[in-house]
Amino acid sequence: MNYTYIKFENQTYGEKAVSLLAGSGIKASLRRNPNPNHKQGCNFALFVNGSIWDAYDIITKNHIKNLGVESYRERL
Amino acid sequence: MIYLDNGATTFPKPRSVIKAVNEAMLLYGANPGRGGHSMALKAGRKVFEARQALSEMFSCSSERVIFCDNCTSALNTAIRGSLKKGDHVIISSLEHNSVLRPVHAMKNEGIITYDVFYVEPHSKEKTLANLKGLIRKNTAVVICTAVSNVFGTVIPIDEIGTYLKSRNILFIVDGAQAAGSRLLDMKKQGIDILCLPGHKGLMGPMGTGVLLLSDSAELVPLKYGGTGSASMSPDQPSFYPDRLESGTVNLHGIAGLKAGADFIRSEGIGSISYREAQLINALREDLSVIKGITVYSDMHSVSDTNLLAFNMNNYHSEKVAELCDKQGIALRAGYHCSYLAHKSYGTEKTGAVRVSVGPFNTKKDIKNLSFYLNEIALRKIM
Repeated sequence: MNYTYIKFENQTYGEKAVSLLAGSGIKASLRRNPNPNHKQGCNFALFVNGSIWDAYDIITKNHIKNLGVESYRERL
Repeated sequence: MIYLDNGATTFPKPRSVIKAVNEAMLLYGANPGRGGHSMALKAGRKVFEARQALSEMFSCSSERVIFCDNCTSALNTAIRGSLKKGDHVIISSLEHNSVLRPVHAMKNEGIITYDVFYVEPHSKEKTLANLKGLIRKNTAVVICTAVSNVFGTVIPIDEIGTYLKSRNILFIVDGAQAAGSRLLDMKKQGIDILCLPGHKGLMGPMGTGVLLLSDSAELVPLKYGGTGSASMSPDQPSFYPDRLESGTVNLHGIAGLKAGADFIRSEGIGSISYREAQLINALREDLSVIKGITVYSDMHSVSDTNLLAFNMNNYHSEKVAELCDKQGIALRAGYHCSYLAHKSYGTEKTGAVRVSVGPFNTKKDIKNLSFYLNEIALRKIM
């Protein structure tokens, strides 16, 4: 299964994005990043109910610090 | 007990604060910002909600709200984190030891030099002129309290903030006695760094403090360690709040602090401030007819703060507080951790008795205090 999400360094930035998106009528949920890499260590992933690029656009325009959009294929 | 020591910590706390602390302990007491399970995420969300509430209250970005143990811890982080070798610092003549001591220690370590500007209680212009006269080429930081914790003297931080912006000097404000009872707005008042206790005017539990940074303020951390982020790097994260918030935060306290901030916002700072000042002015009027009492706070004008300091002839301040305690009234006597303020008002020999009111005090509390102080003056209580 493929997942696409916006990555954040910490929960604070992620929650700020959730709150901002809610104000624009976009529902999103925050989780720990299911696919952390050894360079960045632990971080958070924002899953968007709708267009991830619209959400990403809003987040970057509002200067919320993030680590970009990432896709991840779950291996079962 | 008639509690009139709200300057030390507010009591009682609103029910909503007690409920919030209980809920945090009972329902979602996981480590916030660490694990990925639902309870940890919920805890992290509650901490974020507290950041958001405080950022709205004091006008700064939510990620620049840093939780600390208390206001002293916030001030130490701000002072140590903003100064480098060779810097000059200016502090006011009404500073608490939580400002004086870290600055004085850095001077003794040979890192900085500092001067103290005299606050003229009734002249913003003279106060500002006193500050301006001490500015040097290497003045990097000015630190001052918004309201004196001993005498209730209001420092003109709006004017100071505007001036310091024009000189590009960092402005650190100790909002210990002001937060929750006076309007503090970092953007409007030109404050770069604001340090607050959570347990005083913000009505939260003890063990909570807040450091708020403007978008341009940068600090070197005082503490290094785990942040739940960038875990594979040996370097402290450069982003906020993680940069300054190592170790597990006080979730239960922060939940209570959020409820306290909500309480203040729903009551209205203007309304709280007005009620508290009314009580202090009623007390001032009562004290003016009791023989042998000297009131120090704002001697020439009505007060707009929530505290007042006085002394009684022939009594040490501690004795007055002890006699009041026997009548069930809690006051704070002595030196209030503020060497500079007592020196400034000439009360370094006797200390002073401080009466500080909170949102739950009433006119009846003040009348009772006035009655007993009169009894003490008449030597009916000994």
